[in-house]
Order: sequence, then structure tokens, then C-alpha cells
Amino acid sequence: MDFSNYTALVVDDFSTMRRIVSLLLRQSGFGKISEAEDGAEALRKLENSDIQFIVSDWNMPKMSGLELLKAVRSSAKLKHTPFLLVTAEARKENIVEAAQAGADGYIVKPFSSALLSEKIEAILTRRGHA
Amino acid sequence: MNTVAASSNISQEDTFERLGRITRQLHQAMSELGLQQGLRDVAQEFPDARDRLSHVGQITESAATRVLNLIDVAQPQCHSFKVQSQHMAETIGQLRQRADACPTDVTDVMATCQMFSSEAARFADAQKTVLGDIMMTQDFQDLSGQIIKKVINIISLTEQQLLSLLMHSAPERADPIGAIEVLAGPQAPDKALKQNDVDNLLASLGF
Repeated sequence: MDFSNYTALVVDDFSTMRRIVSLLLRQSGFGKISEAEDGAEALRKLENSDIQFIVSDWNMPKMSGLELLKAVRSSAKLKHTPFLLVTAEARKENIVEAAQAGADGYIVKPFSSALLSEKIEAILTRRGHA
Repeated sequence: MNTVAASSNISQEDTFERLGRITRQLHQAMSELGLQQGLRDVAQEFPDARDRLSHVGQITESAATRVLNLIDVAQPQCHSFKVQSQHMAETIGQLRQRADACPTDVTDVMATCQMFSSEAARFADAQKTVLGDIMMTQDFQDLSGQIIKKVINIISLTEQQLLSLLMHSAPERADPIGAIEVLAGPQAPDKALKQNDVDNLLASLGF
């Protein structure tokens, strides 16, 4: 699958995690990676640029990943953007809540690079990008 | 309405009296159990424990940054060496297919081969250094492990003291209270849902 002309947005309040996820996305073949340290910054970037894939943490200051997901799903411009949650929140009710809010995938930290690529491919295939 | 108001008046006076009684009992219980000194000792350890934990935060973050910086430098080197190797293989392949190759052509390619081999050795050395540097970034584990052990010790002491206080003053409530937080954060591995559980749950919801 070729996403070399896709831009992915990585949202996490920890810079280390942002760098790791960005590195993995670049290895998976994303041409451009953009980063944001919370949901609010992510939303600004999403509104002002062309982003095809969102990978977001859940627990962040200012605006959480779930709030970002809800904002994305209720925006006419952004509502079809694939949204993958990568989070340490691993309770049943969290996962149900994320699914109901419209998440495309849910990865529990810590995770492997193979799992991330696998989920991204599955999401893009399901969304008809490949 | 009247009954409610009257009963709430009574209960307010009642509450103060009861509160006074509980405070007296608690004070007595703490003195009897020798908890006041114990809790005071433990409380003195708290600021120290807080500083130690934030130090763990700092050293783990700096280790992660050092590793990622090393990788940022090493990855492009690996990529360019791969390109060089592919080019070398092509050059040799082309020479082998040529029926009219003269000794000079062969000598030229051999010279390139020699340069490439030296380059490969340099590359391997550089990557070995990177691996060694990455290994050295893990030295924080020793310090952070010791600090965390110390903090666990402080928490266990506090737990013991508080539990015996609770047992003494209100034994029926001494069971651990299950406070439910919406975002619980990282859990110990045996408590968290595994990725497989998550996938199964999502599949059952139609994902």
C-alpha cells in the first residue's frame, strides 16, 4: 500500500511518544508527518492543513483524544478522516466509549511497530483508500 | 417538609457531637497505637519521595531523547549504505554479463570493490558505536529501579499505618475502597486489557 502522498497527524502530550509514533509512521510509508501536543493544537492543524490520518493519545491536557475524536466526527470537513487511538487507557468502558464516538481503531500501549502498521493498513483498506 | 427540616436541625447538632466524639476517639486510638509518631515519620519522607519520583521522570525522559537522537542519525546512514550496496551489486552484475570485458574494466571494478569493502567496515564500526551508545542510555534503569523501590517502601509503610488506624476507628470500612476513575492511565500488566481483548471487544461491537 502506498501512502507516500499522505500526511499523518500524531497527537500526544509526551514528545518521546510523538517521536516514536512519527518514526514508525514514516517507516510504514507516510510521506509527511505533522505533530500536535494536545487535542486543541491538533484541531487547529487539522482545520488549516490537509491531513489524511490521525493517530492520537487519549489522556492529554486542554483537549483529550476522545474530545478531539468527537470534534473531528462533528466537523463537515474532517468527519471522514481515519482516527486511530493509541492509549494506555485499557478499560472496557474506555474502548466502548471510543468505538461509540467513531474511532476507527484502538491500540493499547505499549505496542509493537508491526501492530501499528497492521492497524493502519486495516483501517485504510476498510475506508476504501487501498 | 417540616419533618425534614426538623430532622436536619437535629442531625446537625448530632453531627457536631458525633464528630467531636470521633475526633477524641481517633486521637486516643492514634496515641494508643503509636501511630502519631509513625505517621509523622512517614509524612516527612513524602517530599523526598516526590523529588525522587520527579527525578525518575527526568532521567527516563532524557534516556528516551538520547536514544531517539541516536536513531535519527543512524537511520539515514543505514539507508544510504543500502543504496550504496545495491549499486555495488549492480556494478558487479553488469561486469559479469559483459563478454568483452577487458582486464582494465575488471581492475576498475575491483578497485571499487575494495573501496566499498573499506566503507562497509567503517559503516559497521559506526553502527557498533551507535548500539553501544544506546546500551549506555539504559544506565538510568539501575537508579530509577532503586528510587522506585524506596518510594514503594514509603507507600507500604503509609498504607500499613493508615489501615491500622482505619481498623481501629471503623473496622467495617477497612476494606479497600474501589475508587473509579474514568481515565485510569497505565495499569500493571495483569490488570490491563490486552490488545487481543480490545480487538475482540471491538469486533463484538461490529468493528
